[in-house]
Amino acid sequence: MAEPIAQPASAPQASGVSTPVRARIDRRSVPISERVIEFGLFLAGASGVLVTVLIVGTLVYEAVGYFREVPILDFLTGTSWGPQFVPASHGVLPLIAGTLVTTLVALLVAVPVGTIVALWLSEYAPTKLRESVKPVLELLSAVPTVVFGYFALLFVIPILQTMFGWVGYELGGFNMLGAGLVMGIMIVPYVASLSEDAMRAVPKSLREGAYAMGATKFQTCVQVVFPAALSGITAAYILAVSRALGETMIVVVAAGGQPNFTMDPLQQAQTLTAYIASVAKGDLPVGSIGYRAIFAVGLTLLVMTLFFNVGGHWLRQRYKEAY
Amino acid sequence: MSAAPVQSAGVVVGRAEEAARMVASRKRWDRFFMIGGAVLSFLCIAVLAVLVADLVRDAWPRLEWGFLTRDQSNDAEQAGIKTAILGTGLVMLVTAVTAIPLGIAAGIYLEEYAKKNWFTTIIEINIANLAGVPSIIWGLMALGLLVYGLKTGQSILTAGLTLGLLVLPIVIVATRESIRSIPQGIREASFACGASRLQTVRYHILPYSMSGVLTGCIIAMSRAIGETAPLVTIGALAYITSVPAVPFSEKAWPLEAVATRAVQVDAPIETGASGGVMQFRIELPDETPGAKKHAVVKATRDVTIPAGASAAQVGEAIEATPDLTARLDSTGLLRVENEQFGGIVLGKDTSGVAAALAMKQEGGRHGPLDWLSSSFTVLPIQVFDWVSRPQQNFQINAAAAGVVLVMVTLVMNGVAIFLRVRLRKRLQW
Repeated sequence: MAEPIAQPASAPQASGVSTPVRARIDRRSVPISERVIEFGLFLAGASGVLVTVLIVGTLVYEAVGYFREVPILDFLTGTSWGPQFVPASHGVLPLIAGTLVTTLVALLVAVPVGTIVALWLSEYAPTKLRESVKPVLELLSAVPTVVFGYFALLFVIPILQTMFGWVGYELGGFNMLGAGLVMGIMIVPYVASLSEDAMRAVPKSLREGAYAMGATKFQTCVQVVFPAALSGITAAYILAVSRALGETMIVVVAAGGQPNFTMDPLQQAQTLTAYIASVAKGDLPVGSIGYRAIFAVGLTLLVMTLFFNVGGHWLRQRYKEAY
Repeated sequence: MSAAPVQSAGVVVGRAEEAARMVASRKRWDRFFMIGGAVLSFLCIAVLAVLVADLVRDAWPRLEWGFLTRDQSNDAEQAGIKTAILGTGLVMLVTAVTAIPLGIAAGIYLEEYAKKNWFTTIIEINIANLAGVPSIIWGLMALGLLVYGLKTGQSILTAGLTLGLLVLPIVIVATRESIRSIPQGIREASFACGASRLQTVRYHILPYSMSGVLTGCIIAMSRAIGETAPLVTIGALAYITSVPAVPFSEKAWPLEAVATRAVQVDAPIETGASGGVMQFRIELPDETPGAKKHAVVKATRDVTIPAGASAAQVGEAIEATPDLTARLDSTGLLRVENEQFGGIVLGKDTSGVAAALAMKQEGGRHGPLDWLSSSFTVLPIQVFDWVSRPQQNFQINAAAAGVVLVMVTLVMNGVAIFLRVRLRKRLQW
């Protein structure tokens, strides 16, 4: 970057003693080239807003076209999904059920394990050990999700099949349980890492107070540190939920390929994301009902994610404690 | 009168015993949790180890140099990931060019320039929310807006832009955190010396935050390398036999060899002895139940189109072939369709086919940026495609490509973590 603005005459002066945040500068003294760059930086900053508008706009535009042909009530209450079949059915509930079941299984793994690991790392583990365990744990979340999908389909599900075989149950090669379990494992590092940050931010004096009352470390964990960090921990849980809702590759590889209106995790089923990924392979004719349906499904997913995020934000505000 | 103290003493003794029991039980819980937590934490790490070990074990027969350098093939043992590695590299190039400058600029703006007003608040909330948007939604956006809206097609450009926007929030957040850790005094000192805000950013803020920004960029790129869902949505294809258009190389056949789920088109086999006859082969898979996607080839159809054929003639030639029909879809792409297996996109349009045929005879050359519009495959797509095939042989390939992918992402994250730890040690303001 050239620096044509280096002459002392045009250099702006910071007037007076600056506040800790910003120096006040007379706009007219800022050379034009600098203002151009400044404007460029502003555009970059605003690009995020533009992207959001584009995402929502694209989804809503195509979904509106879809809902012009399919009544929204049928979409939300129908129990059979197959917009590309003849006769077509347009009930999104099977996909929502699949999404909720896999998410629930994942959370049943990720929330307890993540919380316990976080408590252990923050309260029990020696500093040295924590400094090395946490990064390795974070590596787990760096593994591409499609590899987790492979792991679910060809490692975890066969093990589950053997185990269910012992009790005489024949588990299918695709099921939501296996996909959900692996998804849970994938999410553990997020929950653990964020919760641990929140727990470590709890002031030491609170713990010392608990110890002074004769509490054990475990009691301090459960009755002092956990409630005090609840706001941050909730944020971690919310992130876990939105990760699980939006996860695609694991479920598309391992959970099965047919919409299935069931709450039984031992069955195969398709999720919202898996439907989009398995149908949208770039060969749906533009403007067809099938093409628009994937945007309607995408919008449903976005609304669900948003719902959990807003709910989570509200919960966090409720449990927020200032120290 | 005398009974009461005795009784109370008994109660005290009883309470002491109870208290001792309570303390013991609490301590037991404490120890239990300490051991349980440690076991659980190491179990999580063990999962990572098992995952990698399982992958390597499954991939063992393919873990040799040739797997990296071989072309795509329908024969699992002959297939390699050369085109996938190339595709990943090129897509990442576009991603980096999109996300890194934009992300750093946005981060600088938000930390150094933005005033506290409602618009800044919107930008901030917005970036936090963007990071939580499911990745497949980005794919839908790209499909509607780029592939069909701006007609960038299922190209390297589309994929790179999509992933670039997807990881943009990661770069922005990393840049902001890194800049925020620079003490205010540095800025004030720079201003005191008469530097403008831009000079302060250029000579102080940017250099001091560089390692943090670099860490963020590495994390962002490693996330982009492993991202599969958006690329599946825009229609990235697994079966790519040709390398992307090399700048200034002789123009390859203009018809893209496009394979979809059901039908595969091999690249035009030859230009024909007469110097302008276009031939391509369409393979119709055998559709036996349970092997719907990648079953064996049942029949092939060869289509021959004379050079300089008009749109109508191309259509006629395809229509004359048994089981095939041709039509222009709404985006102006020529589609060859088969009743049973659906359609495939053949080329940009029929007049383009004819024009390009002429170009081939003239021996055109690629421009420097033609590769941007090439179709592509990337490593995660390759893993996904192979793992969804029923044959055992292809799952070995999936594992082998998975090993390569995991190694790349783990190394990148390892470097990022190393940088971060070193940074925390070195930088004490």
